[in-house]
Amino acid sequence: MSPQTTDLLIVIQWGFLFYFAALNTGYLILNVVSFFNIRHYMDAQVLSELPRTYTAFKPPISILVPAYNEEATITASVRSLLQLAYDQFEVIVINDGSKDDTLEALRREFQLEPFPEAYWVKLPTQPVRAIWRSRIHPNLRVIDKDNGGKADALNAGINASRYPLFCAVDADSVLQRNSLQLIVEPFIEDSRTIAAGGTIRIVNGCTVKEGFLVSVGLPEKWLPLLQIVEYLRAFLFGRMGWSALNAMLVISGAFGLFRKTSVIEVGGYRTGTVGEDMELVVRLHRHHRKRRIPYRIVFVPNPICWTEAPESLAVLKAQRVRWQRGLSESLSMNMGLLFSGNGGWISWGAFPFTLLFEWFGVFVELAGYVFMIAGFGLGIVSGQALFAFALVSVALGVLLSVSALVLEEMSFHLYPRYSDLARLFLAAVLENFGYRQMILYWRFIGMLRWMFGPEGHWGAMPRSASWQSRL
Amino acid sequence: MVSAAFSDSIIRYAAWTGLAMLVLIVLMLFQVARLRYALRDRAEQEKHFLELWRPLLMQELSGIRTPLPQLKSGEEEPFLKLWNHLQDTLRGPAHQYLNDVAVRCGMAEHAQRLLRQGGLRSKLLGLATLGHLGEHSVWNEIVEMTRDPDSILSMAALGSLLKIDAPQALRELLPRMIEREDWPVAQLAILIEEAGEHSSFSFLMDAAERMESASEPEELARLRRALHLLEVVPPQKALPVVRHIMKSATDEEVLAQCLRFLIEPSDLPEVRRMTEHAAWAVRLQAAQALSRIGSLEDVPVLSKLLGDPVWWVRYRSAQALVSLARGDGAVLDRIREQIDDRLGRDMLTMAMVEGGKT
Repeated sequence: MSPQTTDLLIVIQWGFLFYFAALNTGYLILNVVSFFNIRHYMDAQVLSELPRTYTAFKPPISILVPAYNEEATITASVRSLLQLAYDQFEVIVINDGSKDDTLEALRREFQLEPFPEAYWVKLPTQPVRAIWRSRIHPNLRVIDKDNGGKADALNAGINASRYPLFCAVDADSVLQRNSLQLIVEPFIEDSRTIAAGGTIRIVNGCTVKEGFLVSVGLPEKWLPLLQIVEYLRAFLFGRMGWSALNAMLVISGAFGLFRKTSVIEVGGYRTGTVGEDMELVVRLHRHHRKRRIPYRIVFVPNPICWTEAPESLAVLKAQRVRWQRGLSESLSMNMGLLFSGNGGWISWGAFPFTLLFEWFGVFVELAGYVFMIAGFGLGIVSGQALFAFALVSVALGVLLSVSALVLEEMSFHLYPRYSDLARLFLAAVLENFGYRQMILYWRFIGMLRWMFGPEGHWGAMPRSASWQSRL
Repeated sequence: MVSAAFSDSIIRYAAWTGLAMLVLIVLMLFQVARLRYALRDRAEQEKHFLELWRPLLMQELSGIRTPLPQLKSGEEEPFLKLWNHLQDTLRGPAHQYLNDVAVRCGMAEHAQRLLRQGGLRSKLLGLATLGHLGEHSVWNEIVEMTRDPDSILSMAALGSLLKIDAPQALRELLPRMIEREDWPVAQLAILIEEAGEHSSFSFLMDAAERMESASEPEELARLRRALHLLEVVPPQKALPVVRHIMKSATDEEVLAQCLRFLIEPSDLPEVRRMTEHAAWAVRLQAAQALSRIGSLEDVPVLSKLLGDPVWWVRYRSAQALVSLARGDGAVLDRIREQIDDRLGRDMLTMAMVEGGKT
């Protein structure tokens, strides 16, 4: 082997090692921060368990439900939303030019009648065709508009909303009766709060009755089970850690609460993106940091929203490709946040971390796999080296998942049986053998689609809703 | 086979790192199992505890004194949780019965120990307990805790002091309540209300009145917080202070807050004047005040506000018109016909439908 090749290999080797060390240091810090934060949160809960009433001071909330071809599930979703335990709220369904009978289903079920709304265009959207209000639930309105995508639908909902806080909810989200009570707390506790997101859990395997979760369980199928481990990791030490540093970059579109004036100030949701939820949060950070406006974007660790995970590879692939595109759009559109003077943890921590490890990391990780496998094939990477690095990679993956299980046990311990824990651990091990590599490949495709593909549109996901059949 | 890409030392290092991680995984799994076991154990213990103690406490609450068993080690927390729960739920002489039980079980001393030795969870439980017990001997320690940067702990300390001695707590801590922005005003107001101490009204009114000449941003922020707190005072009592503040106030938020208190027709001239204010938040509150205290004489003023550039002012004005017309659809139709502005007409139509007046 020529000296130049050897030098090149040494550079590559140190590049990978540096990347690996930086990534793990980041995860370690997040883990430690999450550990202390979750302990503090759980300790503080001891008084929340006592009967206290803050009802008179809870700000009213507008729940926005964008719907596109949701004919089959929309009425059940809205019915459950109308039963949420909260003093004052309204539900606004935005029918984004559905091609099916979404509007008709709503009209029948809730006795909708035309409403002479003095519609205020705070955010530009596709034309609104009509606004309806329920005769039996005066706090339910439906906006029927031309198709413009999820972000456009949410903007129309913001325009029609009456209350200072709005809650963006996916039409298929399963909430708990007290979800609004829990997620509004950061707004009551600190007037600087402009957005809050809760833990999203996977509903596959659980029992849902009349739109509400009644018991928690694990799915029989492996694909959603593997995603449960992923969600635990992402929420319990990812978002929890960044939230403690006021540097959380994502609030899931499935359930998030926002201060309306702050969102309008930044121009609402950005249309033409597939990651409108993340992009909005990143833009809110950028806006407030740039203008030095004190603010907080908060993560509520309580599991307050449940969503269905894809059960087929094709649907999972579409979801992950979309997520990676969304991530790419959100970061690239807000590059001004990177290392900005007044940026704090968001500019010097979360943003570069996400950029390097979740965005650009796709290429590095993929290159790592190719290098190791090709190197082994070409004889420049020994069997021992391949084994040693595979061991580290798998062990780290399992370690991170198991640390999420520890945080789960410290906090909500939702999965009741020992066998559930055993299955989750097994999933944490197995995901390293094929699943993670598959997800990495789909993220790579997402990057390519972002670079070369057409503009994004509604990320409709076919649902099996198997949990719904257990009514 | 010798690796060209990685030196032996790096491979060895990687292998050892991997093995170390495997050991960590095993340790963490043990931790998960331990936590789960402890959780089951605790749940079982709490179940047995409740089966024994709930009936005993209920008996005590009905005034029947019975010999109480010794609390076992580890039962202090479930006891205090149940005890505090009952204290927060019950009214009347039940508090005294419960306090008596806590003293007999040695919980007054235990709560003090929690305050001094425990972590956040213990401290919070200790504060809640000492508050219900009205334990004056730890006053200074708890006052010190209100200075803690952790707002959860400091607020709990404040709540405890308000329960022990509300007038003294307000006398000593009202400035801090107005000062500390991390103490949510809404929760402070609830704590004051819960304290049920009517003498607090005078403290609050004095505090607000003293700040009437606020002009610097920090002073104005404090005045706004004081006005928020003043909302726990019955409006009739607060009115003289509010009127006094309004006379000299120029800050739009302060003016808007003051308008929320006005409930007497004698304030109508001031309210009508405020409908012309440059700040929309003030015009909005003026419209709402007119819906409370105005009359049909105010229809022209409100009709004019229906043409306001701000949607919310138009909306509240339309609601005020619906309210003043007292459900008379014919009156509202006449008002609507006289409105030239299309946006204003649309707004009134919407408010009429919402109010069921069409």
